[in-house]
Amino acid sequence: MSTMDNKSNYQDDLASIKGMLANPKDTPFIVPNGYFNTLETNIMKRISVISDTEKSFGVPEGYFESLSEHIFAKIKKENYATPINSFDKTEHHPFIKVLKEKVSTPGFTTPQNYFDELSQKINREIAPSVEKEKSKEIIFPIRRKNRILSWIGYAAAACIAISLGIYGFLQYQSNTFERTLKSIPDSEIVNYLQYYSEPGDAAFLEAQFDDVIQMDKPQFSEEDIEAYLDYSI
Amino acid sequence: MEDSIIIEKFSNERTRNEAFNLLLKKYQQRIYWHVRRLVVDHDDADDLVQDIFVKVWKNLENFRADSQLYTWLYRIATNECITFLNKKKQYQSVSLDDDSASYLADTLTTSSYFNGNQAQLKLQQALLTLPEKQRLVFNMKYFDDLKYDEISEILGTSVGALKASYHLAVKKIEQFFTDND
Repeated sequence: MSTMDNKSNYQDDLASIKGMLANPKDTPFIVPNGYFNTLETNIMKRISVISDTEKSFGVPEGYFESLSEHIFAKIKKENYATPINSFDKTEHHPFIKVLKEKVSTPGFTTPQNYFDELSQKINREIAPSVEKEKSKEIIFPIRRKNRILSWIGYAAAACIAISLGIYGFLQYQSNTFERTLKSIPDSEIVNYLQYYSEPGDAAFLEAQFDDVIQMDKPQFSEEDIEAYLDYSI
Repeated sequence: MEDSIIIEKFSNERTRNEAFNLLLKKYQQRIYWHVRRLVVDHDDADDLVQDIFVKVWKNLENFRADSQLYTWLYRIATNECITFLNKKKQYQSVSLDDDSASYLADTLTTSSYFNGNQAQLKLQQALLTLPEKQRLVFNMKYFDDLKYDEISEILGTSVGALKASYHLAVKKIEQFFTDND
């Protein structure tokens, strides 16, 4: 933006506010009608009131010169009557010194052996709470301990019972299977396997029960096999 | 026996009774006389001392060592006494505006457990004309020789206010002695 442009903007702004105030020094405040006409009279009235008051309330001659002295004298007198800052001195007040010489104890007495019995009385008073605390100490923890122990005992017993049950059941199951298996004659098993087994089963059974099942392996010569293969292919 | 040892023993359940008996031996007389000077009558003092120590038994476990044991005991005792005196005041239909303990004056003269001389009687009579707070402060300062700091801890009042109370109490007692010479 050039300097020329700035100048033209200012001129535009000035043109827009032109005529708003007749004089730039004028303020927007106003005063009551005729205020300045009566102002001087009012001030003079106030001055005469002050002057009259001063004349009517005269002070003795040299009053202000001695005023400070009077004030200090008054403070001293007040301090003597109630020494606010010297309450500590009350401890060493002459009256207290004299009084302590005359009265060192209050003059009260107690029944004979009162203090010997007082401890016993107080101990008797607290005895119920002591007993309560003792009973708390002994009974409550033991009950709690018993409760925990019995719970653990029951849990352990249940675990053992379940374990034994499972073990017994499994034992019974395996025994039943073995007993049933033993009751089947070997010939029936062989027949069953001959009818229902698949070609792969023979190899599996041979590997698993090598020592149990003695399969009769047919003896074929190589020539027989070759002849069989020639015939079947 | 140091207070700290008593408190330590009390915190142990095995040595609790022993600790409490040590505490009783050490403080029962101080507390009794503090209470007695406030309530004047021996039987009232006896009941209150027992109540105070039962409270101590129940609360000593919660006592925090941030204050002295004896100031704690004095505080309990003072509070019990003030509660008791307020009840007694109500029972005897004493005006609430009457701040003095003049209603205890009869107790002083009829008590079979007061054998003080003339000066002791006069001092007690003078004390009964004082407002409760001034009587309390004067007793603790004059008879117990407690320091302002200690009284401040017991009563929860500023040292300045206590000094003023004591000063006023002394002035009034002095005036009482002058008037009744």
